[in-house]
Formats: sequence, structure tokens, C-alpha cells
Amino acid sequence: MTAMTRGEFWTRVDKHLRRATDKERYAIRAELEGHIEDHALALEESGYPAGEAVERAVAAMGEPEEIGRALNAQFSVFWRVMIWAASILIVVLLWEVLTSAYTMNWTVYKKNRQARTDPYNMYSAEQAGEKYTLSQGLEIRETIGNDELYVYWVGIDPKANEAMVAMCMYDQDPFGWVSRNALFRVWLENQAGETGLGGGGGSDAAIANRRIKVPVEPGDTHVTLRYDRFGEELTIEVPLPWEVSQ
Amino acid sequence: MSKVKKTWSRRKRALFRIVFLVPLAVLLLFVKRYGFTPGHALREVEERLGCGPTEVIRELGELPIGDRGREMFLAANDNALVLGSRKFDLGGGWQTDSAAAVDCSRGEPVAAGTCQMDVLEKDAYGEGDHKQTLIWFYGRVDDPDIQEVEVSLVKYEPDGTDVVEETWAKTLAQGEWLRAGGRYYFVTSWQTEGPYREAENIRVTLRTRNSAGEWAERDFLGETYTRFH
Repeated sequence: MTAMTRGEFWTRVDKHLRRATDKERYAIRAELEGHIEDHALALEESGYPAGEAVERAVAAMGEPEEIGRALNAQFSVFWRVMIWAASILIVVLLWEVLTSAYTMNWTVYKKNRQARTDPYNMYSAEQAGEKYTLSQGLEIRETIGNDELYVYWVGIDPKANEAMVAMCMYDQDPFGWVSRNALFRVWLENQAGETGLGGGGGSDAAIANRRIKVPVEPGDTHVTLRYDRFGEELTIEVPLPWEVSQ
Repeated sequence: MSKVKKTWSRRKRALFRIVFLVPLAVLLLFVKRYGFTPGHALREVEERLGCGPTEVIRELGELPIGDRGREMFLAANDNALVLGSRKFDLGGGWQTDSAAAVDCSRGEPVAAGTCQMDVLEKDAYGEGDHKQTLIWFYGRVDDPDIQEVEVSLVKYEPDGTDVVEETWAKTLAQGEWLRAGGRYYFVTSWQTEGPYREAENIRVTLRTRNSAGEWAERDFLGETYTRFH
């Protein structure tokens, strides 16, 4: 009977590794060859010629069919399915995290930031009517609940004797929702105590915007924004820009 | 000695992935603002209405029309009374989609609100929309002399003058009110049997009776029912 070579040994083991993937086969082969190599080296050190040392090391491994069957039994189909299922779930969850982070958080954050720093470009009050030829940017911020009311623009239409105030509201938490109900309970009065009319606005989860107009008389120095709801009161005097250059 | 690199077993590889899934799922719930408890939906209502922190004083059960599983609740703090709805779904947890509130900070004897919910429902054969309406009446009674609260729906002539008929009325005596945090609240609802037509000039009225037996008509101060999404 001729001695088995390393290649023959592997071929006979491999025949029984039906459940193993190519990658797993490669790993098993490397491991088995490592064992043969270690054993052969030890035999060589004991005085065996190199060729015989390998033959003996291969023979010492045992029956290749038996090894193949034993190794094959270790490759559970259940765990392979679990690997696939977990991998698919990871991809799905990662995708969900990214899309949800974008739609539910990043968008809210972006709008909140823009409301804090530059509400003009979201809802330009000037776009509401170019007739407000006397206008001025404002920097008035007040807290309502856990939201911030930002009064950012006032304009006067001198021909119609009408003033318009533009404001927006955003949550103090950059990822928080705004209370549009609160902003739409703010009203505007002139110095005669007349209440202003709606001038437009809009809202979404992150920002609420509103413009209110009220009749004014030349000589009026300001209009007043008021809020009185759920025990919270607010009065803001908005100076009228009669003197502002156009 | 050869250097044989041991590879992970299938079990170990699967378990590693499963362990990685856990923080990923937690992160997903966080970014999706998942509502783990009904309190999450209440916090959203407070945030959207801007009424400050409240506490639920009465669970009103599942809404009898419209979305199944939508539960109504009444919540309050010193300055606000909130009628809200919340629903649980696997994807988002406890979420709210709508609420109404009454400002109770004005020192009125009764701070009450109404809330009309219109729902279009398909009939059993999936044909034809069937409109149903549920109107809630809710409020806080701060005047200790008030003994009874009466809410009613009265049908008027189109010009709004003469009463045609009283469609529905309900009187709630003190014993039927809710007591929470040392205050009295009432809540009731009316559901249409058929489509509710606004063209019928139905007006909702609120009256109170004091200990001397005198009736007084009151205004509804509640804010409009708001849908958030």
C-alpha cells in the first residue's frame, strides 16, 4: 500500500465537507496542513528524512473520511442561516438609521438652525409685499414655554399706513418640535389698541412662521405683540422704522 | 511552527452579528423617536400645543370611530386641560396625531372646550364613504357654587335665530365629574348615528346651574382640535 500524499489526504477530507463554504474549506485546509507541517517538522527533528516525515505525519492524521464527516457535522445550517439573517438585518437597520436620522432629525435640526440664524430666506417677509417700503431687520427673541419667539422684521407701508411684523418660532432644543399653536395665539396691536390681521405664515414640525399686519398712524412709535395663554404672558414693543432709509 | 489562523465558528460569527444588532436597534429607536411608553405621546402633545407638562387624569378608552386602537385621554396641569389621542404601532411605538386644549388660566368659573372629530368610513362592501362625527365636550369647573353642567346641540333656523329642535343634551351633576389634584373636571361625548351635516345649523351650547338653581350660558374657550401630522 502506497503512502498518502498531503494533496490526496485533503481531497478525501474535502469530499465530505458538503456544508462548508469555499472560505471555510480554505480555512480547514490551512489548519489541517498546519498540523501536518508541525508534526512533520517534529519528526524531521527526531531524525526522519523529510519525505518520510511528511508521509508519517499524514498517516498520523487518521482516516480522512472520518475527519471530513466530523468536520462537516460542525457546520450547522442553523447558524449559517442566522449569519445571513443577522447580516441582512444589519443592512436594513443601518439603512433605516440613516434615513430616519436624515428625515426625522437632520431636517428638523437644519430648519431649527435656519430659524435661529436666518429666517428671511425661509419665509421672506419682504416677499409678502414690496409695498412695505420702510423696513428694518430686528433681533428680538423671547421665550414662550420651551420655544423661542424670534421677531425678525418690521415693515411699514406709508401709503396705506399699515405695519407688518414678521416672526418665527422654534424649539430651544435644536431637534425639538415647535408649538405652532403658541405662535398662532400671538396677536399684534397698534397704539390705539386695535388688533392686527393675519398676513400669512406657515409651519411644520420644526419651525412656525407668521406675519401680522396692523393699521398705524404717522407718529406711532411702536406696535405691540402680545401673548397670553396657559398662564404665560408676553408683551413685546416693536419699534416702527419711520426714519429708516429705504 | 506553522502559524495557523483559527477562524471563528459559524455560531460565534452569528452571535457577534446578533450582539451588534442590539446597539443598532437602540440607535434606530432613538433616531426614530420611538415611543416606548404612552407618556411619550403625552410629551409630544405638550410639545406641540405648548401647554407645559401635564398629567393624565382620565383614560377615555378607544375611539369608537375611525382608526382602531386610537385611545383618547384627558390630561391637565394648573393652566391647561388637554384632550388628546394616542396610538401604539410597532414601527413608531406610542405616538399622537392630534389634540385640543383649553386655557384654564383666565379665572373663568368654567373653562370648557369642544372637539369635533369627523371620520370617513367605507361601508361593509367598501363602497361609498360614510361620514361619522364624534363631538367631545370637556372642561374644568373652578367655581365651587356650580352644581351642574349641561351641554347640548341645538338645531337653529338657517338665519341662526329660532330654535328648530334640541338634537342632543346631557346634564352632568357634580357626582359625575372627575376629581383630580383638588380640581373638578367633566368630559362627555356625542356620536352621530348618521352623517353629521354642518349645513343643519347645529350649535353647541354650554350652561351651568348654581346652588340657587340659576342657569347661566357659558362660552367654550377651547382651542381648535389640531392634527399634528
